[in-house]
Amino acid sequence: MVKISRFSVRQGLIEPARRYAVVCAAIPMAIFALLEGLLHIEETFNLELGAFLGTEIWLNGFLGESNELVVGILLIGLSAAFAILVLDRCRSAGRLKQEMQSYVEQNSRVSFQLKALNSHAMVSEADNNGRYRFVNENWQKVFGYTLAEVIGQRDDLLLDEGGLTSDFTELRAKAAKGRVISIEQNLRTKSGKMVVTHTTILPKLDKEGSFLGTVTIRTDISDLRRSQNDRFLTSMLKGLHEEMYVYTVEGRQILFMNDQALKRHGWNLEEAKSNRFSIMNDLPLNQLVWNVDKAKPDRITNSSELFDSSIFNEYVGPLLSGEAKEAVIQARHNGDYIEIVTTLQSHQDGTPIFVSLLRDITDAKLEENRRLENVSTVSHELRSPMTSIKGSLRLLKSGVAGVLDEDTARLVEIADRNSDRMMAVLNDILDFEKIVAEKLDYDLTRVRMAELVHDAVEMNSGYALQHNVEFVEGAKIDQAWVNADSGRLMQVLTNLMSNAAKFSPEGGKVVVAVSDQGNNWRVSVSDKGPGIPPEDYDKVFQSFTQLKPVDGKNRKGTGLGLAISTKIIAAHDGKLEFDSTVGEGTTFFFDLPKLIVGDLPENSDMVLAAE
Amino acid sequence: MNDQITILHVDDDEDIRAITELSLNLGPGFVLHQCASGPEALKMAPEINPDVFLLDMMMPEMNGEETWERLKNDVGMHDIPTIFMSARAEEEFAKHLVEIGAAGIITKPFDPMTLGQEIRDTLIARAKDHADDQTDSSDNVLKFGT
Repeated sequence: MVKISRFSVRQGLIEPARRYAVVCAAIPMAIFALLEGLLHIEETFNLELGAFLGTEIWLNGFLGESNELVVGILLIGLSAAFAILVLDRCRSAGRLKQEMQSYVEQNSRVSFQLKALNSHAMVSEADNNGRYRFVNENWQKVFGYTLAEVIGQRDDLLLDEGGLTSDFTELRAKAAKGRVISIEQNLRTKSGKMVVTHTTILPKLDKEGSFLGTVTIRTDISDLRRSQNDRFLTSMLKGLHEEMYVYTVEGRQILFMNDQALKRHGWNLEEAKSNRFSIMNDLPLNQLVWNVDKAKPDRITNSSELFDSSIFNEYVGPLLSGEAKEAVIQARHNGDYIEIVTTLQSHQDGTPIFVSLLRDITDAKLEENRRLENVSTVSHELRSPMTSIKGSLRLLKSGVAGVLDEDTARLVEIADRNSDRMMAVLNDILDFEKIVAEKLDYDLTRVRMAELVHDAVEMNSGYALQHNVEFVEGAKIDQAWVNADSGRLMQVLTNLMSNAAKFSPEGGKVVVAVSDQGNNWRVSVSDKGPGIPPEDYDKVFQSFTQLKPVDGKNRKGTGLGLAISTKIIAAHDGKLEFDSTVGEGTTFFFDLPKLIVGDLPENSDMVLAAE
Repeated sequence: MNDQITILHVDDDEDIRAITELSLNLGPGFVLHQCASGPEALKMAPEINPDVFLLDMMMPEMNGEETWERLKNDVGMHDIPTIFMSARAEEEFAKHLVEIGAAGIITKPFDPMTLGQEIRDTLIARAKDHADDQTDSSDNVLKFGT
């Protein structure tokens, strides 16, 4: 810019200088011509004032000696002409002065405008390869590079790696054609921050039209875009059915709540901001309670009123450690059932924040409970007739109503066995519904696994007899204690053992063992059955699924057993898994966290379920 | 306790009443009275003065628990051991009833071959508990007395 102004000033000065020279020459010429003219006239009247110079000689030669008067008049005329020229030049000089003044004014106006431009915009100049030749202070301030750092660097150092900006090369190609480009750009500063700019690129061409480089002027419109985005997002959030809570990781201080969330508490956003997000354990009812309320002291036990940091930390722990992208928890609030889905996000200034979406699942819960009641009712309705059927069959079998002949006895036996199966299905469905509805209570006590395995082998000897297999207690660890509901674990073991028995060859052994897995005790049930082909692995734990028999033998069952067992083990912080080799057998196992004896009183009445 | 145990069995299901009757008549030792509803039971109970109530949990009009409460409070039969017959769907609730004083639960479907023995076992366990309680309290009295 500076160069441009200097260039134009010089151009403007050339003409006035020439005028000066002419004026300076014309004044003595006019005086001389006047005097000479007067001399010639005087000579005519015999006034000897002397004669000189070639004009007179030339005129004398041209007009002859006798024509002194004519020469004199011509010379005076010439001097008048010079005088007119001088006068004209003098007027020009006045104009020149004016012009000079206006140039100075213009120059100061340009420099003033330049100052304004520099303080408002980021100005940079680059050569035809996009290498910086100049950046102004504003540019340096916004992009974080010093002049020394950028000179000679290419302009694409501002490119966002995500490729949000159209390529600088492409822009340069357009500019090279002499086009002025006006675009919006997303650019990256030295510190990595994104800046949105409105950018005008002016091409610099020489007289022949070849491309010399560009001058680029940018204004930072990040705030504008951000506020536009904010407005857009806010209006979107207004329409969101879920409640949204945005709060700090440190201190759980509310930063934002959407309209749905504010409505629940009857606040405006300003009122909301003095509150904290909290999840507490309401001990008497043993249920998680969520709330947003005035800051209360953390970490004071035995009070349902106070925030329990351990529960919250356990909830968000996987987010902070990066193990999980989102955390889900269910809790109660003023009688409502709610589900909270939380993600870890980054605030505009880079500080971590939690964003929790809260959904009222009361209706869904009530629906679930209704369904459960229906299932209970149906189950009961079926059970009463089953009681009569089974009772009758048992009495018939016992011979109370007279001794049965062989065929009748066989038929009664078949009816009795199948009524047992029907009861098993009813029980499974009932358990499954309860588990799905999370209605199943777990009475956790300390359980010695060796004892449980022993009992399971004894209790399930009936299965062994039925399928002609043998249940064997394998390796076991006497002091393997876990915190569990022994009844539910027994249910799982029974399920695994009955499956193993069903799939074992005649006379086969099913081994039930306990082993040490570091932090966990592993309980395993192994059979020497046909094994599970890999293509069926994903079906194993599906509800109501019976695998196609590998050995062609059909087995009876509801297909719910493993689905129920999986849920029960999951409720114990464990996972039910299996290893299988076709032709060799299958081992189902689950790991339960070790309990250091003394951690829990013998008859702890701690209950896991939310209800 | 008498050798003969008098039972008042209340169940709205006629077939179950029939099977229960057959079952308890398998051997000697039980005198069985039956009715189909809670209100009937309230009427019958003072007349037969049973040793044990055998109540179905889910009955229309007046359910098992309500019948039990009315037998205790309206008829004044506080001390008669009460056994509930419950389907598995109500087992959580049945557990609760034992906690508040029921003698026991027999899960449906029950085995008619062993029903009598189950009732007997429940009553023995109940009597033993009571005896223990009394011993405990008499111990206390003695301690305080000395």
